Amino acid sequence: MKIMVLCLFGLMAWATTPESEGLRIATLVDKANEGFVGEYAEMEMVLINAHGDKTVRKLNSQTKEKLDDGDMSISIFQWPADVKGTKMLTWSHKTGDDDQWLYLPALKRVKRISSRNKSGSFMGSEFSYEDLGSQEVEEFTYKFLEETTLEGRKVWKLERIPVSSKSGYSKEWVWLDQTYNNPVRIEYYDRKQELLKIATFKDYKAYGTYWRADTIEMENVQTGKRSVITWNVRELGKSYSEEQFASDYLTD
Amino acid sequence: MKWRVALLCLLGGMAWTGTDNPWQSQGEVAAEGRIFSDDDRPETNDSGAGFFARLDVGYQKGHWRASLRGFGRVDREDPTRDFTAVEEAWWGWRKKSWEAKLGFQMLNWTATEAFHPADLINSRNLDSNLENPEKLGELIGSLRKGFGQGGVTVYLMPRFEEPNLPDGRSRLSFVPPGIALTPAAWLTDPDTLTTDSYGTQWGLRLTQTHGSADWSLHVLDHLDRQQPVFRQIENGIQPVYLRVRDYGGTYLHILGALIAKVEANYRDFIQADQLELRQEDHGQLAVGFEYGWVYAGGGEGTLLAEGVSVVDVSETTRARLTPFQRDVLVGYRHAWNDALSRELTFTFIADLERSHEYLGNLRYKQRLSDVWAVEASLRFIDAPVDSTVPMGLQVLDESNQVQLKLSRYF
Repeated sequence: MKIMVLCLFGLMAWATTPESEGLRIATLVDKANEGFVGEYAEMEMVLINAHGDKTVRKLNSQTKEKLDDGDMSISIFQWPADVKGTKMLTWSHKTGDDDQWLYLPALKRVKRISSRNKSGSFMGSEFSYEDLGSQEVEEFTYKFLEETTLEGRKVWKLERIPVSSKSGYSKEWVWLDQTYNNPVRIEYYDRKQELLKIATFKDYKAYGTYWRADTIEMENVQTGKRSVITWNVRELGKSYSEEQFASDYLTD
Repeated sequence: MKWRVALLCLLGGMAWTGTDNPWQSQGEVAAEGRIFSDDDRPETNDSGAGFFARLDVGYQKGHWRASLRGFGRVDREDPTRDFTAVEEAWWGWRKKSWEAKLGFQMLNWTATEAFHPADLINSRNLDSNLENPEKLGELIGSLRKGFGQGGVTVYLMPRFEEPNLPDGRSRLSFVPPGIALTPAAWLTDPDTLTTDSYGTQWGLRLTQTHGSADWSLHVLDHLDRQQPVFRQIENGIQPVYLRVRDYGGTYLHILGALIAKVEANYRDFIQADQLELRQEDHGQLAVGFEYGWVYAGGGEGTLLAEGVSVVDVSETTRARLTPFQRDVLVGYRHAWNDALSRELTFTFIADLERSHEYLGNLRYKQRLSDVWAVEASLRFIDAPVDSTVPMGLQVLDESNQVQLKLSRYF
């Protein structure tokens, strides 16, 4: 009898390790965000240096959801004036590097670029390309840390480690809101295991059954700089064709 | 000429954008100057100082699109540089996998950074950047059908746009100072030399993406825009452009942080032996690599390496066809990725076949504010003439220059 009980508990422990629980939660949250079809957004990003000086960036984006792979997206830069019209096309993939093209309007040139170096700064902000790219489940390994509350809201706290060796982070701690099915806080640790940045997700709004944060604030705790992205316009359920995300069409 | 620049500036001041507005516009007004090292020739212009303006207006509503884009330059020190050009002026219609366009278009088929054998459409203003000259719009009717992850495009070009060659007084001229360049002529068939701009030219281009690779193939039957034959006539030197059929393509492959690129093209000229006008058939092949990495502070570094070779002709012919006939380039680009978007690029080109031919370029640019930017560049050319007639890059020996450009974007 005792042996049977021991075996039973052993089986239960094997079935729900922190790693498997972390993956289960990440997959659950990912599934909850599926089905939005497509998204159009207009964003403003404010760069704030350690002295409080502010610089503004503006961009629009179109995203087409692909359930069998990563999403397709186009970001069109609107401000500052010298980069207006520059476009970045991304075909995300669940595994492997994303396909990316950059359109340079001055030369009317579409240039395919490598997406391997994701840790580079996006438009001089505290957001890196990997921070803003599609966060596919397969891009991380997970570990469930605890179920807790953050600012009165029930959250799961996970640790996730990027699979790519080119990531700028050794690990991330993610607080996932159990109602929003999206993060409310992420702490990013650099390759030396030191806290580098903290992302805070605010102003969540419901778009049908989907919750989206209208503000993300990224603070670099090592330099004192901050960047804040605000979504001024967001429309979900947009129906885009795959042709609209063809590299040949970036020129117009 | 000058009123056109003013008009571009005025239209630029009317720029407006809006999410519901089908019109989008942007542009640039700049003060630019350049100084060449003194060549001890009073007949050449060693400096330039002027204004540049570009306006780009786009329309997009439903399936319809349009674009109007042009630039103008007036130079107070070097009036031979005064120039205006329409880059784009077309209407287009796009639905699902079909797209049609009619009007002046500007195309860019290149995959490489410095040598562009496959970038054949559009005549150039050759009194501009040596590595990437300004392009002139070409009247094109095009029809594209998308398939796979790419498509096929058919082009019909009914009009030949004459390239702008530097005046004999320019330090970038291909002819000695004091020699007048007359308006060009072109050879539409082996027996007919004409100055009539209209005639049938066509092209076909296929593009596809397969995972980490992009490739394209093209065929063009058109009047050459790159390699005129010069002939002596009564009142000067006349550039003559021959009919040519180009076959070529590009290939690019992403290998992690490394990008490998190839561009190739074969030129089959129609010869006019009776008129004693001939341009040698030849091929051009360019191979390039680009490797990038990120620094701890978020900046990026990129190493560039490219080579180009003209094949199937003799060394003497190679030198006559192009200044970059068997050259290699190494370069480094550093982007700080900061709020000022600072960027520094250095490139060095050396001729592998002809001894002592070098070209170096150092360029720095940054934003001064959200609407102002500055760009400075330094170029040196070391290609001493070793025969009675300068060949290849020797034509531009010691045309070292410093350029400064202050731009206001809108």
